[in-house]
Amino acid sequence: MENEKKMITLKSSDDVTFEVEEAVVLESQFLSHLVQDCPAPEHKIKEVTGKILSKVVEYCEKHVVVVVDGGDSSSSSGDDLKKWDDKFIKEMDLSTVYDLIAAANYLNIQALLDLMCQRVADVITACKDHKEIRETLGIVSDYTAEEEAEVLKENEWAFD
Amino acid sequence: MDKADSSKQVSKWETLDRDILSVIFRKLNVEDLTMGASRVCISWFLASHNKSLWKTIDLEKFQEVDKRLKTLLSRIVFTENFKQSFINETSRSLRNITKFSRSVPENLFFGCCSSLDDECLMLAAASMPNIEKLALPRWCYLSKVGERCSNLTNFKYVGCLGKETAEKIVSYLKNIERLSLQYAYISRPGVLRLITGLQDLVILNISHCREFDDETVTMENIVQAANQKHVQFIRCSNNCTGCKDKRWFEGFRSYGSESWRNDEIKELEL
Repeated sequence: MENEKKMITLKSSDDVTFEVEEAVVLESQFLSHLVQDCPAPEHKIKEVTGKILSKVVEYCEKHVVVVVDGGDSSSSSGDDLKKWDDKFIKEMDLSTVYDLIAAANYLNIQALLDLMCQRVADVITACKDHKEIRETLGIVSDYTAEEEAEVLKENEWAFD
Repeated sequence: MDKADSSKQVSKWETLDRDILSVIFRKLNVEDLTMGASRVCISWFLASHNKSLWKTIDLEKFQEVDKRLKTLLSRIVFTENFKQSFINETSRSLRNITKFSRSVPENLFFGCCSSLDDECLMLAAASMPNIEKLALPRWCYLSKVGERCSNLTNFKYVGCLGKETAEKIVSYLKNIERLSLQYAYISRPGVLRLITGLQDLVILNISHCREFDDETVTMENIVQAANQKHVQFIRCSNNCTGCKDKRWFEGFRSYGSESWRNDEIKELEL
């Protein structure tokens, strides 16, 4: 529709800058409000580091392109996008996943948040019990030994 | 499986926002949620009790397709022991779930290949008083007549509907308003009994069903009875493409699938 692409600069907490099209920014509810309310050429996002912001930008750029290209995003481009998403999360370590969840939540990018949560759910599903979940995610249990025994007893669920 | 070496130092998964934990937990099946995630730490334990997670309980989701097929095969050589162990399993999982769900659930879908008996159904009715939609498994052993779940108004059943089962549904679930038997294996006398017996019935769906051979009741009789009682009666056309060339056990595969979750009765879409 619009031929002239408006560019916007995003600056991370550690001063890494990203120049992106306005359409990319609109993927984030938070940023679209920000851009509308204050039409400065550059926006500093104090809560997100350059490493994570680059991932956010990568994700949003990919998703914007597909929707614009396909018009009403045809099924083939939908499949491609899904493949891209799969690859995007597969290559990511859990610490990045954690930071991306926080960023997606802060920037209000629902689809990205959902994708990252799916990744965590897959990790949990792959674990055989709660101990393995703790180990994988580096969680230190705050249960006392008694409480833990109680919780286990409480929801004992004997499946063969 | 990734080992998150770096995450051990920086990420604080245990303090993740409750709402975000809910998004993650919603993607887990019942077993992984109640026996895995909920036991990790106190914060996760509390998050696993979030009401939004328990509005719909879908027990089908926690059986992988492989396990389902294996169960199905073991069912073909069927013994009393098997029956009881399957019922016990359903009962155990129900009891466990109610600790998390309390009275929140509005939708309860049993797994296709699970079994239940009177006790399971009464436990569900007693501990989940707000159930509006229920989907029963293929194997229901209901015998005690008289107990009933008065809050149930929407009901989906994919098992065999003979005259006897129809009789039980009529006495147990007296208040059904919307009933879907799509993909079930039905007898015409059974369907007729439902129409005459369920006083509040407003709509009945028997699309894509297989029928027992039975000469005593014709489809005409059923349509007439439905008209008389002002029950809206839905069935698929004779040349329904979805039904062609299907063997009777096709319903197994449709249970829990997209086509089964869809329903001509809007209230019974799962």
